[in-house]
Amino acid sequence: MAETNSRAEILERVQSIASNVLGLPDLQLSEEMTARDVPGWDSLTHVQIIIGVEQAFGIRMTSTEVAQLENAGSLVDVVQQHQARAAGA
Amino acid sequence: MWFSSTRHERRVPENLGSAVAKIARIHSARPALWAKGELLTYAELFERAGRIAAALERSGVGPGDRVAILSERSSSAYVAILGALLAGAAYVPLNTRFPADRNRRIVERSGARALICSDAQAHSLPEIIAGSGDLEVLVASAITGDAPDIPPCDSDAGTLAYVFFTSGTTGVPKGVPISHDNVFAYLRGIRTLTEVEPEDRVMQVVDLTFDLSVHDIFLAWTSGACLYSIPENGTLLCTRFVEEHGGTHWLSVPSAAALVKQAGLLTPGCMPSLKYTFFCGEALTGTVAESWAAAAPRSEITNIYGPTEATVAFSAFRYIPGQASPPAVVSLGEPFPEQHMGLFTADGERGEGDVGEICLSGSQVTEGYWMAPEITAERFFEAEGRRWYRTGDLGRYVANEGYSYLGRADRQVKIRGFRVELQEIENAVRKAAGCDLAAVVPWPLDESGAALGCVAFTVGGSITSDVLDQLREVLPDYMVPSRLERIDEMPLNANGKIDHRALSEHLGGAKNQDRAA
Repeated sequence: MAETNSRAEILERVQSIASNVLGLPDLQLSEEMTARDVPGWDSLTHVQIIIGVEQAFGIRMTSTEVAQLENAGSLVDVVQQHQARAAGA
Repeated sequence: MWFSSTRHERRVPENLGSAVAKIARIHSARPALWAKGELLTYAELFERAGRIAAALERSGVGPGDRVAILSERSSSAYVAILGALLAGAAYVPLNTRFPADRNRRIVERSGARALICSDAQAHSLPEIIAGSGDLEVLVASAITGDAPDIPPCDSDAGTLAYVFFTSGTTGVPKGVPISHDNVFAYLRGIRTLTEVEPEDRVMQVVDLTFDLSVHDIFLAWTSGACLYSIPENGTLLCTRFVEEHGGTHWLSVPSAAALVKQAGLLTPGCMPSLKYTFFCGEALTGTVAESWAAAAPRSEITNIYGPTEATVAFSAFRYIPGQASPPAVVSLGEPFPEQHMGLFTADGERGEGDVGEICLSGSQVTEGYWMAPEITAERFFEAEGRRWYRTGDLGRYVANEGYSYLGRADRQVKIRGFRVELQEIENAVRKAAGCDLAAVVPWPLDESGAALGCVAFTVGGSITSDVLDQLREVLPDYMVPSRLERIDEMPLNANGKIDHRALSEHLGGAKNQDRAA
């Protein structure tokens, strides 16, 4: 049975992954926030966060999905789409 | 579609636009560009680029003009480049990651007649175009109308293809104008080292303000191949892009490969489709070359070398992997067949004992800096009946191995692969901190001696977080010091000059300083 989560749950887990990777325990992530809004979110931590999210949700993002990430909300979208596909399969 | 018109019989001197058009007529239904998940065929690419060329012409832009381009690496950027060339103009890339002030200075200095802006970047326009009164601004989605049915590219080959701006010692970015002839000469040179077929997929990872992008774009588009643009934030996931799209050609700075390796993503056999890999822009270490070879076992690996002034790259060395003890740094090799490379002294004489400043001569070398005759006079000289460009790189020549890099004759460094004049950062620090004396040293250095950032020292001045904020407004992020340190006295060497080595020692990195600077 594939797991599905609400947007808020996904965002919270993304926030916890990002705060671990970035070493920012008080990080408060909103859907509109971009990498530029978060100190230390550079190309290296970006890939660590993406891989962390993939492992946490058991998904693998395509290059198109990676290319189209604009903000934290679009990362939540990708996780939801993967979960919906897995649930429908 | 205008490029399939049979009416195009008149003899058009070749420029990059017409060269790509010729290929596009043959391969119109083939994919030409993948960017941010969007795939364009050659027909679609030309329809959009033709529309831009027509809009530019309506605005009075033509041969001899410059067109600035402000776009993230989406399809908008690439169609704008082609559109500018089809209109006979030279393109001037801006960078969405640069502070607005730096982009503004580039627009101003280039004397651009028009600026093409992607929709996503329209918000930053007011700051960038401030003071450029006559500039024609075209926002991508507002460019409508039919694409013309005859290629409007009738400028002479030999006129400018692009002007790229690099870090300048005086604090003002320095323009390097490159002609269509220069680019065609480069393409002939690089084609002696790689074949590109219409089925191939050329990966593009560098920013469009870095001239390595010229290699990717025009190698792909003069071959009917597809260009795959890996977005700014996807560089470290590049192995996934290569694997998913079956990438065949790769060019990056070695730092990019080193970072992928460091992130644990350069696993053996992960890029089986790669056929040709080029590294350029900084020292390629044997260990990085070996890891890449294991990750892309079918790929040839070639280290290429050259400054923007000599069009992308000028010399090459084919690396043979599987070496028991890989070289610390891979050779720069020999110049391309049509080009000349030599080692000279500061007086323009041949260096003694095969050591000297690496100087370049031939059809790839720019005529001179953009509107800067004094810098041109400094960097170019006549010798042995040829005109030579001084790279500022010190080199050695060994028969059978070719040229090797020994360090810089000046204070230009590479930070994360970006070319930086430390004096430009020092000028900015002095201004922001309000002090007379500032010195910047590359720091920290990775295990190969490559700089990952820099640290600034000042004597006097005000060192507050405001200073760093001010620097972020005028310098690209890779040039902003990671920290500022106020010291009582600047260490001086025997000649009374600032002792940068002592400052590096203060940071604890003396042993690698020579290799980084």
